[in-house]
Amino acid sequence: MGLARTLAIRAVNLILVLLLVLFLVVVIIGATGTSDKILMSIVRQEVSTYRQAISRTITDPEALEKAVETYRQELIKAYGLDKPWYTRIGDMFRRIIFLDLGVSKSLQTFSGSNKVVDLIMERLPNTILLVTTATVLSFIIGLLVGVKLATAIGSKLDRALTYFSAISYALPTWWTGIIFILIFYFYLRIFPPGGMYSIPPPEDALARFLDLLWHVTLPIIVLVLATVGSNIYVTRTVVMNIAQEDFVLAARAKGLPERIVRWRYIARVAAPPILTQLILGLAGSIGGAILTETVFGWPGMGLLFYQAIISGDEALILGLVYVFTLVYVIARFVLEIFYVMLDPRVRI
Amino acid sequence: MSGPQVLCVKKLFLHYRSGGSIVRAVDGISFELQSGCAIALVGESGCGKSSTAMALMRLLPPNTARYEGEVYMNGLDVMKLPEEEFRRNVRWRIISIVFQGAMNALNPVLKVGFQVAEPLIHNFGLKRKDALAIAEEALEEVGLPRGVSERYPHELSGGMKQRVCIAMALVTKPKIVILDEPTSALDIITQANIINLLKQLKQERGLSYIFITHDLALSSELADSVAVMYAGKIVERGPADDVYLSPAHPYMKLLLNSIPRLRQDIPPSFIPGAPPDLRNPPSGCRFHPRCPYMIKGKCDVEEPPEFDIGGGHYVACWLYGGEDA
Amino acid sequence: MLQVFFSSSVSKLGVALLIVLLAFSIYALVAFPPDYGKLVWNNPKAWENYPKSAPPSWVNFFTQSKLFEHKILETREPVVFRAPDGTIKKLYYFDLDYDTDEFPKFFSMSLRDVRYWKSPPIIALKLLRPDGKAVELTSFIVSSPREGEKPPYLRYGEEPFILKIDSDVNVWRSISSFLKESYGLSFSPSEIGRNPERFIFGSPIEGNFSSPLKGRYRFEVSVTAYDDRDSVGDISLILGGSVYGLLGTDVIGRDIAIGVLLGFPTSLFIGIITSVIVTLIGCLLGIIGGYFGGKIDEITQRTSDIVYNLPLLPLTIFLIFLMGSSIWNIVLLLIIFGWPGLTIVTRSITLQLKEAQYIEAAKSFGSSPWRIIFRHMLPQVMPFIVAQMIFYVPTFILLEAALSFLGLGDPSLPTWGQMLELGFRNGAIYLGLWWWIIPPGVMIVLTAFTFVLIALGMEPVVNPRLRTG
Repeated sequence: MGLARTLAIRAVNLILVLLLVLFLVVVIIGATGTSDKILMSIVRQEVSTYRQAISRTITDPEALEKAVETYRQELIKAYGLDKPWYTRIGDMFRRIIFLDLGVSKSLQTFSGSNKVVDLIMERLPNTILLVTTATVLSFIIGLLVGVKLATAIGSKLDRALTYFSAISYALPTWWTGIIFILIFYFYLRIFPPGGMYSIPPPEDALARFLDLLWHVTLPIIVLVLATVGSNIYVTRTVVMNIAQEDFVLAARAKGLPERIVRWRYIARVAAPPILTQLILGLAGSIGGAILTETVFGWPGMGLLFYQAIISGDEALILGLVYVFTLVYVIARFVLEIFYVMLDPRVRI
Repeated sequence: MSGPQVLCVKKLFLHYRSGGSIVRAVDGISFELQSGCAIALVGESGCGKSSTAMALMRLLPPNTARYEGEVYMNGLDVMKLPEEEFRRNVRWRIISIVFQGAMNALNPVLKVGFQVAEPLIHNFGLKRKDALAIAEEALEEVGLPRGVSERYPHELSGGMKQRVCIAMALVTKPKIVILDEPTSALDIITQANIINLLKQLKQERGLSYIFITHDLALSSELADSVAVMYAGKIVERGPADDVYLSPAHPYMKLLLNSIPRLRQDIPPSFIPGAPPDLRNPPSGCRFHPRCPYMIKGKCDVEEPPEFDIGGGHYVACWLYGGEDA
Repeated sequence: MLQVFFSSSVSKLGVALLIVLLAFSIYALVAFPPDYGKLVWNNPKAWENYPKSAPPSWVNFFTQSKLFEHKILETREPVVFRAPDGTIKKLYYFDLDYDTDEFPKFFSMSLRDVRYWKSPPIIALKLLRPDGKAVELTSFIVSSPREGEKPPYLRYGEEPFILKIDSDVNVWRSISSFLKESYGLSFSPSEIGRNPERFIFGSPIEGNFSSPLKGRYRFEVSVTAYDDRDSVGDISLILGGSVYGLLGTDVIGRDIAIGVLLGFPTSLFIGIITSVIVTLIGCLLGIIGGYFGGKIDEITQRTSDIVYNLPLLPLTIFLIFLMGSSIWNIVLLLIIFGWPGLTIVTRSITLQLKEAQYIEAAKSFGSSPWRIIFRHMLPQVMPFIVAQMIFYVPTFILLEAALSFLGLGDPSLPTWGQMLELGFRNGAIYLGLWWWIIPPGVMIVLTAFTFVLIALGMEPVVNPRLRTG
């Protein structure tokens, strides 16, 4: 059916985008010598593990050093570090895709591993939790309020909305977060200043969940505030335009109850363009996640990214750039599935 | 022309508020329609024809200033019905409408079969499956191939969409169907096909049509009677043959004259001036500024009532009544 | 068109705000030299004498017990006279009205550019308290001429002379004797040394100088010179306070009001330049692709599709991390990621316009494609392009602020985002240093808001359906 074909084409497009980005990234890090640095630190790590291992059997320091050095040279050859960077493009590609990037310079997971892949995997779910919840909430609020306002064009409420949307667009997410912490933590002491759980986290499952809710409230409010303004505005504009269309008049003429007209003829038809708005806001949500997590110390990929930048941890940064792009591509695809399901006009 | 009266309109008004003034789109019109007959409502753009359709369907815009009159459908004054009753019992049960520009009259995200079946499901309480079956039949009856019901509007041509709208308007078997310029967006061949279809359905099912158009030639194909609208008022009405062959009102006369003759060597004429602004119509007879027969002191002062000139033919013009006949 | 634009109150407010922004920017550009950022702002030495993390001085309006406001007293014209012993006396007076409940955190004197011709001058610092008692805090002789030096002798030209009473034992001794003589109170120099300000500004009631003596204080710096041509340059007295200025100070001691002021031209510059370039490139590519079609169109479309589909922030961060955080890199990256949005839309508008009859007509009598584009199509698209360009300005300002906040901003240009970054990194939120956190953020919001308002005001111009009345 047209549905499957359209989706397949979109999937291929997105995968191509991902691959192209990866390719550019690999080329850039190759040319700037960063990939060399990363590989060298992997080599160093392996060498020191090796050293530890064989120092139990070889006790003579000279022989030890020799063995270690030989191993090191072997590794350098094996990783192709003795050849120029462009011979290693394929290898770099594979490494990034599977996050085989060695260890982080300075960070560790809760379980003590400092492998890049473990760090990222540990933080990934926290980011997904935060961003997905906020996006869904923002969408629902945008929809409900936007529809309400579309039937009240020109009123004072409508005018207030225009200003609110403008302010919402102009407010930097991260600054709002900072101000919230100032107000709600420093002055009012209602909410915690950041983090995901209290230290130490509560034992009991229900208490743990409530603790999580308590911690996640401010970050979610901040993330929602960032996007809800434009969601409301777009919903209201789209609904306003659609409500004036002939088919809505025709639906009423057919004697359909107003409820049906509102849902099936206005909301349903307005859904695709509003969904487009969500898709457009996706890139912003990723960015918003990075900033919000940094401000609130939320242990997700965004905070990890910030920490990686501060400590100049190339391998970690590289891995995160990949995972961010991957998450973005997947999220886009999911939304596009919804879009194609909702709007038959785009099916080929 | 047989059958009892299926529609009787008396002094119907529909005024809108626009930019501080009132647009008198439908300004007190009256006419009748027999069962199984078609009445053509003709006039220039902006004379109030479509507003009349909206008024009959009670599809009122939010800036309505005045809406009143008597509209008897099958003997029942539907103007007195509360909103919910009107929706349930009048719309699509007694009277339905095929909109001008079928391009936009269909919901782009729903299959056309479903859209045709909708009134059956919601107002007649039919199960979805049954309603869809009936819809399928309805689509076949207007000449569409099987399987169209599974299509979306954007997959159909203009002519096909118009047929869908006709099927949709007929599926609940209403008595009266309003056709608002149903072919103006179509090419001439499709136009002919649609008109033929409409004629056929009218005969088979005894439907009554209100055929709104600015195309005089087209309306003459289908109409049993004609009502001519000018500036929100009906200026002449009667059996189609009478009105077309012996037009009484100066406006109708000039209109028919201005149709270019293909095989005669007569230069085309036109009506001087422009249609009036419905916010501020001329005093007295609305046509008087452009009328070559205007009687000063009468036509520009007093609005003429309808005069009966025999055989069901009425004209609102001082030339046919009052002191001078 | 201008009429429609100005008809809404949204646009009027937007333009009014814009004028305010421009005024502040111009003032900032005029009042400060271009390298102020590198030389002064980022130089901790320049802010040595300022209190650190101090709230603005107007908080005193709201508190019961008044905090001492940081004061820097500068040179006046001296009173000059010839003493009976032939020396020339120059007296510099500094007055201070003391009415707060707090002692200054420190007190120091700094002196520059001493020149003398014959004998080195004697410099003394004396304080006259409101209760009429006077204490000579210090008195010293400028260093004598060295071997081979010729007059005029210059001292304290590069490095000023600084006297800090917190660290000068001699000052403590003078204070100790003063207290004994004037009040009969006995405090050892080391006791005084723990908090000398308390004693010179304190009230002797109950004999323990626990609260300040309010009233008018007069400082006298006297220079006893031996030649008419002898001179002294800048003299300033610094009294360390807890509050300072219009917007307080940050952790390095920098005047936040100055930082905020400097941010105006920077953000306007970044926002407008980037926006203009992106719009130019985007539109041009869109129109060319849409009009000429074929290969060019294919390529532009594919490229803009791909770039448009990329997650902006992670990639920008990554690239800046690799390329270094200069302002031009940031602008370049914003442009690289920003152009597709406009290209895609302009292209579809061009495609629509291309089918218009008057374009066909123009083509038919031989107008060149460029002529058609510039004379016929561009004017149609123009309001839309202008509106988009205006809308891009706050986008880029916000993006730059976000990048600065993450620590990737250009360190030589003071921006609001960077001020917030420093604050965040130093825990200003958790310490409640609201004067550091709120003003720069408010400025960012206000600037972005201004342009959003103007862009909204442009909507009715672009979309006639939305015009009211």
